[in-house]
Amino acid sequence: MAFRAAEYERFHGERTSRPTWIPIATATLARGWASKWVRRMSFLSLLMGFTIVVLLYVFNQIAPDWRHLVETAGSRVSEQNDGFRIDSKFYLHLLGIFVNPFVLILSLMFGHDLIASDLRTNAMEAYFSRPITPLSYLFGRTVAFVGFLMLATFGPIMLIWCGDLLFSEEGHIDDIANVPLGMFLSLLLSCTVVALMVQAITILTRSAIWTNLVFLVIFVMVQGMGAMLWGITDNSSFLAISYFHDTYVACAATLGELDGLTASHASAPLAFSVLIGLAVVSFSIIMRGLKRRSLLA
Amino acid sequence: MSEKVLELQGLVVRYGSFTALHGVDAIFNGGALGLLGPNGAGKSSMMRSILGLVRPADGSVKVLGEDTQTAGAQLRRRIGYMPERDAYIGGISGVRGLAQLAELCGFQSEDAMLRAHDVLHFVGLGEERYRDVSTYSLGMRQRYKLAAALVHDPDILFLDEPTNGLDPQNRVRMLGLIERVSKDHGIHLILASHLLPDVERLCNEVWVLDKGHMKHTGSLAELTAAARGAKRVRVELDSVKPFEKAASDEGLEVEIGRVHGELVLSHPERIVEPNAVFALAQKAGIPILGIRDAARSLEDAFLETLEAE
Repeated sequence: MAFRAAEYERFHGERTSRPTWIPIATATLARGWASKWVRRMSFLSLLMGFTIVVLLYVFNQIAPDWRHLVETAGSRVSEQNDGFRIDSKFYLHLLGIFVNPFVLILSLMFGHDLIASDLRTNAMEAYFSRPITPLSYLFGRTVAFVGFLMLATFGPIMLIWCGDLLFSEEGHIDDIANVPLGMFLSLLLSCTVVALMVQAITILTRSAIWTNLVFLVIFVMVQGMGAMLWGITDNSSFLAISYFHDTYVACAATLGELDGLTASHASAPLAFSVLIGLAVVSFSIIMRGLKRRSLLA
Repeated sequence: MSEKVLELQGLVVRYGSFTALHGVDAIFNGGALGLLGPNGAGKSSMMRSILGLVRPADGSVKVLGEDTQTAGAQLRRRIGYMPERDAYIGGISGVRGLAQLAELCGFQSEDAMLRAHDVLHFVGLGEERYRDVSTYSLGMRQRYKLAAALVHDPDILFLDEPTNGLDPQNRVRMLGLIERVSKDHGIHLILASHLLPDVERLCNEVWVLDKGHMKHTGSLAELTAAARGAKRVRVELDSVKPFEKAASDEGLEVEIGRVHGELVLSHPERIVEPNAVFALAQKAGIPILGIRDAARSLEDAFLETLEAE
């Protein structure tokens, strides 16, 4: 074991000029990963994706033309000819499995404490007396949080996509080629919005518990309210107040499947506007709060 | 010519309509500076200006020759700040938190971790470095804050009430650590404290702020120096009254000192020479037990400075 002198020593090593958001992001990732429930949820999500890949493999082994059989059976029981076809529209159904539950759960377990913890321990004073700006701080935190959300949402979808591609016939790639980029972009937007929203609520409530409660109420209430208003007015634009609906529409739009959706939905510009609007408002709230705290008030 | 460590030129800081600092001019050439002032004097505003976190309404702040408004972020790499309140990164061990703070100042990950270990050993928290800081005692948290201020090896150390709430033993320990860093390693020290004995022990220069105005800048010795050449004279207890009368008859102003048998002799227009005191004592037939310059305590000097218009 190395002996360390208990005397102060000046530092003569090299200093880097790497961006200050990187240490913030890596520390946030480490903090998230240290939570066993965050790890469990991330693994659960990936495991679910892996299970679907295994099922695809099994189907492929048992009946190599199972895709055709499923499509034929689907067209008989449904009026839609492509209702049971595995194409990019199929991946929209995965949002209900991976995005809706895991975004909510991870936000409740991990996101709520990102800034609240720093406010509680007055870490802002330690951070902002160093060469870091509020923007770098927020960027570092958000990158890490979005990373976790993308791992639990985009990660399993990509696993399934790889499995789908691997166990398919030639030519299937044409049906699903737009999935990786389309899903990545739309989920990146969607996860960024959630990450900013959670942090904005945190900075307003200054408490992890209140952040969770407010976040839960907003998500559950707005979801129900959108459906209720749509039911009353028959105007599908009201659905756009629901974050999950906007995510669905955004994904459908980036996959080019918006026209093929049978269920009522808000228009893509409206859904994108709501998501971007939420991000901008959340960003403004956070920056205002951080700037006030960066003055060591 | 040596570089000026800190230079304030006509510094005005405003928050809305409230003016926290009114055109402050001061220069600190290095060493250890005590920043004194009652609550609301403008110490925090000055500190924010030095850290480049607040934009002056007028004037400028230069730290190590660089303007804080143009080089603020980079200058903060060279400043170690120990806030008055607890400030730490929660949910991770003490050593990991310090390493993260060092990384923010441009340290490589490995260097940052090594440095965090070293600094925690230095402040006497080597054994507790893997614990969450929230489980530390008050004394340990104060030392942790000092370690956080030192972890990136700053050139200037800004300490805000470093001994606040410490018991005498921990206070002495903390002052010893600060003294070692400041005197043995050439790190310039700026100490804001209400505890004047701490300032007296550590600092060689003092700035006194009051209501946003600089009341005094200069060496500590200057501030506590003899007032108008007064002398502090000690005589037998039963000789105090006769000596007081004899001195008054000679036209001297006499104050009874804090210590029994002590008198402070002064003259409004001239320095009281020791020979004159001995001559006076000889004439009155009173033996002198001791005589020295009537240097004021920092507390007296501080209060007098605040009271002076």
